[in-house]
Amino acid sequence: MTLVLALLFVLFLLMGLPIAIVIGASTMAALQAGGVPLMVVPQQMFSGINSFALVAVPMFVLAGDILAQGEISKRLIAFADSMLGFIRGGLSVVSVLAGVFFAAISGSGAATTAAVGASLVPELKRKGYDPASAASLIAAAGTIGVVIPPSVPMIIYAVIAQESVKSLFLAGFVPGIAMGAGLMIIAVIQGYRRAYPSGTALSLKTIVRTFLSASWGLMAPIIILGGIFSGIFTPSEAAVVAVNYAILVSLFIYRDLTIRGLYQIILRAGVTTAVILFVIAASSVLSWALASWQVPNAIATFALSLSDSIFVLLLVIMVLILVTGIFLETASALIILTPMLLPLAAQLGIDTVHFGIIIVVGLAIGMVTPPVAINLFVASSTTDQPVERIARAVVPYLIVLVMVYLLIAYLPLLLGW
Amino acid sequence: MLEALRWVDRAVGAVLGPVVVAGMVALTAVITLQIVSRVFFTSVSWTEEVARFLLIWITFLGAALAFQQGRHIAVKLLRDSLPPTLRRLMTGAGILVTIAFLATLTWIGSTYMSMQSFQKSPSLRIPMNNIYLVMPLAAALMAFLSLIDLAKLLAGEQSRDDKPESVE
Repeated sequence: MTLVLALLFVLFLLMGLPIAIVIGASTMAALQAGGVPLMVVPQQMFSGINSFALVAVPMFVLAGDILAQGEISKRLIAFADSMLGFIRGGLSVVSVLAGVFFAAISGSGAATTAAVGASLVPELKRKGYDPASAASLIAAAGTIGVVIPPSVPMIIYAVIAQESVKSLFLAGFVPGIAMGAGLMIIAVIQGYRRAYPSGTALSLKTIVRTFLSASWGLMAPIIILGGIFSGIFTPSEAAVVAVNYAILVSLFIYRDLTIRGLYQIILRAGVTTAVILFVIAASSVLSWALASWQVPNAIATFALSLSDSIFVLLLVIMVLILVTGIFLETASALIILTPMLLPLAAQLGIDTVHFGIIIVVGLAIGMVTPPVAINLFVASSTTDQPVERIARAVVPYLIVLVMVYLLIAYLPLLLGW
Repeated sequence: MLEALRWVDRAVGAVLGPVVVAGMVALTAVITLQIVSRVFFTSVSWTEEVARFLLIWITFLGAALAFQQGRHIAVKLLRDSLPPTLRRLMTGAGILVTIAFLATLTWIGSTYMSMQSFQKSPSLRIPMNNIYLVMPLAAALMAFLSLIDLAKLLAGEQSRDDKPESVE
């Protein structure tokens, strides 16, 4: 049955069918062939998405989409510029810092890329930065969007792994900041090599002024994350608070959002959510089938028969995650990989939260690796640079992200956390 | 004939859009109520249940809308690199697989719904088949849209415009 499933899955995937249909159709055919009553399909599809924790997905997508447009992102970037703009090549360093700021508001890599790209790229071009390279750096910084909380992939992982969303969010800060730091180092080196100009002079007055002007935007992560970590809100509730806050600020304070515009944003967020959750629903059936055929355990046993070294096996797992991230979109890859790899991770003694970080960061890197590289596509459409040029320019950032990835995965093991 | 099909196709999208938006607004409202009532008054018991049911409805109807807009995530690399004739064959085979899956889903979805007709939700005592109805409904809608795709393909038209979806 597993063979039927695997063959049909690959066949339907290559035929270019929607992922949810690929998963649903191949699983259904395998269940039918295995003589399993098909009633398990609706049952598992419903139970897969009948979860209050998943309510956070549409709400964080919506809040991020509202905050990404207009004034809030412009003011956040001005604040980032006042602090780091003075460095040579400062504007590209600023685009990374803006990505880090935005990551604490948005739960998605594409939204982070779009928000930073739309506001910064015209400026970068005007100051003589190489546009493809600037766009690729913004795309690379966009990956931090799903590592620093809030994060839609972390919510999905937490639901599948039955872990708390809060613990995953807490574990995301350090890796996210490490990714940002790595990218900034490359940006500074390139700034000197390419003799980029330095921007805004460092002055306390400018910092204070831009800080105050950005305060509505800077309050958002304080409310969202502060509310979650202090235990006032559950993550799902915090996401709704973020939506209300974003709507109030955009409609009444900055007044850069019309009701018609809001309708369009809600519609887009609803469809985006449905696309993700429909894949989750379909793959709940897949996970059920795989578990009943003992596949995850077989994977674990097979892997442990190859090697008993946690370091070697972790490397194999990470390569598998990166390769999957190259060909599949983040949410789908996450939903398929997590249930298959969790038993192996548990047998290796890797903490469930740490494993979540490993899988989310690995798939985040997949957002800038073609052919399926959502951040590169978003960066390309916001900057009018061809994807091919951005894909070539992203290589140095990709290398540094992979180096940080190795560090994130292995350092806790070496230190015995 | 094709003109009429296109009109029906667009009508499905035009009806589903406001429904999905209404679901999203209701979801926001019900959890806002949950927070406000817990912080200022006593917590209401039914909000989580309503939120979960709304999420289920948004998922299935939104999936049908995404289908109409051609926004589901797919890996189209191989298909798009094929010569036109082969690509049309593969697209046709894909539509047939899709229709077979969605028709089966409609059938088992409605069977499941009628099997659960005596079950009531724990908090609000809503009959659960009201919730389960959305699966056969959305699956039937998507199967119907696939039939339109098939008709268009046989008439030699372009397939549903696929755009990459920005989701993480």
